[in-house]
Order: sequence, then structure tokens, then C-alpha cells
Amino acid sequence: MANDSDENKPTSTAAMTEDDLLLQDQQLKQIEDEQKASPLVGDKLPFYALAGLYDPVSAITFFTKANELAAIYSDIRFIRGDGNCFYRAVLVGIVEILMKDRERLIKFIDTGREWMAKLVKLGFPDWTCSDFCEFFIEFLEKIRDGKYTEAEVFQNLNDDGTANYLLMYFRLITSGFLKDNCEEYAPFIAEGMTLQQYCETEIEAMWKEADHLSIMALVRATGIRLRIQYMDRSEAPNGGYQHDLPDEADNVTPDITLLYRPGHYDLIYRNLVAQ
Amino acid sequence: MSNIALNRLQRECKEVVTNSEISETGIMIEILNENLTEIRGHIRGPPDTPYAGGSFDLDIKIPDQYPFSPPNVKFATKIWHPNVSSQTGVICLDILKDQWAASLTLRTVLLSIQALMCTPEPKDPQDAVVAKQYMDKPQVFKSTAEFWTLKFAKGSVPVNVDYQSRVDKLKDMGVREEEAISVLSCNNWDLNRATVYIFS
Repeated sequence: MANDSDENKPTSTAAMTEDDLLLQDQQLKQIEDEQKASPLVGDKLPFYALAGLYDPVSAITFFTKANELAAIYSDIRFIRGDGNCFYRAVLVGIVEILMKDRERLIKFIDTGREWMAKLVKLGFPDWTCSDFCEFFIEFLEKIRDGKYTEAEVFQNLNDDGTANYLLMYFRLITSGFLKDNCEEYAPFIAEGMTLQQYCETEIEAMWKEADHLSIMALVRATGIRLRIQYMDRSEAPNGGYQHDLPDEADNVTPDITLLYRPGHYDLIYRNLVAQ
Repeated sequence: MSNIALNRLQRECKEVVTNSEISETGIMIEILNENLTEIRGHIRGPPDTPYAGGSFDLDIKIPDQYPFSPPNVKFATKIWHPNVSSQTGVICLDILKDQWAASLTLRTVLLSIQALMCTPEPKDPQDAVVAKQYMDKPQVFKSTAEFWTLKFAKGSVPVNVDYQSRVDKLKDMGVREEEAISVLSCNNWDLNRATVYIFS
């Protein structure tokens, strides 16, 4: 069945009429307005807020799962679902760690500088890419030098103008990591696309969702340990309901845990008391 | 637009203006308002194309989300090209849509449009009529595009006397020159069909 519909798909896209474009613009605007109703990064909420989103009768599976997870996780930060959620959740998670760990913060700033030089070497457009890196480094330096209170940090993370620049840094190093390890990762790119094209259209383009390859690349580029807690009906690749990256290490506490619900990531926090 | 975006945009404009682009590549920009949301681009028609010698203006509008959303760019000067609407100047170019990346700049956009003028992509047309002519009647396409360059982009090729006389005939019937050129071009310069199209 799936093959049938693929064959019937038009291979080339016809030019859109002005009316089509206008309609598309209106629809996009509507979706955008709905998205903007929620903050980019929500406040830390008690984890049971998640169960409250589901009807115990009509969405019993999710309701039950949310309650089960509440035994392990204490808090959740909802992230806006605008296609940037994975990168944004990691950004916020990392910034939270760096605010508490000065040594790691300094190391992360150094890594930022290394990435800046590396991206230029990999052939990324020179000054525009350096701008994004510099912006990210300056942001971390202000945290290092105590120029931001925690509240101000979150104000910045919630301001589109600032946050987009910080996200772009993560997108660039994700793309840079894949390009730098082209031989290893090229076989995973879907047919009909080069790794270069994949990086440009799927990673470097803002508001494009991350897939498994880009998730792996960002984890390795930043050196973080990430756990993804699944809350859909499927299971994680390792057969459980959670997946640890870069690899399934035994008993290693992840730096950041993300909750995956179909098509979306939020940031969650382990219940430290229960451990 | 945020301050950082504004700074970047200023730098982008500078990049075009100071890069001695005008003499080398023939691209140029002109800032129309202080907050840099409206910019006028200029592209010199590339040599060895029907646009050679022409001077093409582009309207560039910078969206709030710039540089994360692409600039909105269209031809202000009328141009006969498969990937540009002959009516509205809207351009079909991947980097102005889904292939846009925040690391691109106005300079790369203008150079890409100039490259598109050299190498049309008739399989991904913006103007289906122009694209069909480009593929079916390449000679007519070439002379039509040259005629448009001369008429609308201050081109310097000698006027096509044959085409001009047909335009003049329609003008004698009270049709505006721009409309006459457009309708004749769309009808492969068949005066009868153009007349029928306009008056029926």
C-alpha cells in the first residue's frame, strides 16, 4: 500500500499561484499564533502537570504512563513545539548545568571557540557563522562573569531574538559534527540526498525538527550524556522506554533528560529524593 | 527586529557595498529606510545572456525573524525568465524558500539570483508560460527576453523592429505598451492571437 502511494506522488512541484501562497501564509500565521501562546521555555512545573494534560478515559495510555513516570521524575519544563524543541530543550538543559558548574562552563566556552575555528575550516560561511558562535560564547561569558542573574538568563532564553542565535549555534555544531565525520555518517542519510544537503535543509534551517541522526550528532558535538524518556506507544531503540546517548552506559547518570512524546521533546528532571 | 539582527544586516549591506562588487559582479544594494526593513537590490544583467546590458532592480523586504527566515525578494524590473513571474516579479529560488540558511547573506542571495539569470531552471518554473516558451521555442524566448531587457531594464541591444511594430499596432488600438508587450510575449508574438486575447 505504501509503495502504491509513493508511486503516485508527483515528482516535481508545480509553481504555486499567488492565491496558494497567500492561503499558505495565512495558515502558517495561524499555526504560528497558536504556538506563540505558550512560552519558548516554560517554568519548572511539578511533573504531575503532565498527567493533567490527558483525559483519564479517552487518553488512558498517556494518562497512565504520565502517572508512572511521576514516580521517577519530579519536575518538567514544557518547551514550545515550534520545530526547535529538541535543540531548545538541550540548550536550556546545558545552560542550567553550566550555571551550577563553573569548571564545565569554562570548558564549554573553550569548546565554543574551537567549534568556531572548525566550522570555518569545514567551509561554513565565514563571518555569519562566527557571529552565531561569538554570540553563544558571549552569552556564556556573561554567565561566567556573574553579569546575569538566573532570572535574566531565562529571560534571554525566552526572548526569540536572543534564543534563536543560541539555537543556531547548536544547529551549526550539529551540522559541523556530521560534516566533520562525513564518512561515518553519510551511510545513514536517506537516498537521494547528500550529507551536505541533509545538513543544510534539515539541520541548519531553523524550525526543522531533529531526527535520530541530528540528535546523535549534537550529543557527540557537545559531549553531554542525554537520556530520552519515551512516552509514546512504541519502545526506545534499546527495547526499553528510555534511550541513553551517546551509548547505553551502565549506571551513568545522564546530564539531561528529555521526555519524548510523538513529535515533541520537553525537559524533565529526576526525582532526587526517591533515588 | 532585534539589535543583533540589525547589526548583522548593516554588516551585510556593507559587505555588498565595499566588496567592489559593482565592477566585478554587478550587484549593488541601496538602503531605503533606517530600520533596514526595505532594501533595493540591483543586478547587472550577466553577459552572454538575453539580460546582458540590462539593469535590474529588486525589492528586498526583511522579515522580523531575519536571519532565521529568508528575505522576501522579488524583481521590481519586469523580466522574461522561466523562474520569475512576468506579472509580479516573484522569484522561484530554493534559497529564498526551504533552502534558506541563517548563514547566508544578501550578497549570496543577489549572486544566486544573478546565477539563476544565467541558468534558468525551466523544470521548476515560476511562470509556466515563459518556461514553456523557453523549452519549445528557445529562439523566441531569447529574442523576447532581450526585448524585455531593452524595454524595461534599459538594455542596449538594438530594438527588434519586428516585435516593436507589433507592439505599436496594439498601441494604436489603445492598448498600453506594457500590456501589449506582455500579451504578445505570452502568445509567441502572434499578433492575431494577442488581439483576440485582449479584445474578447
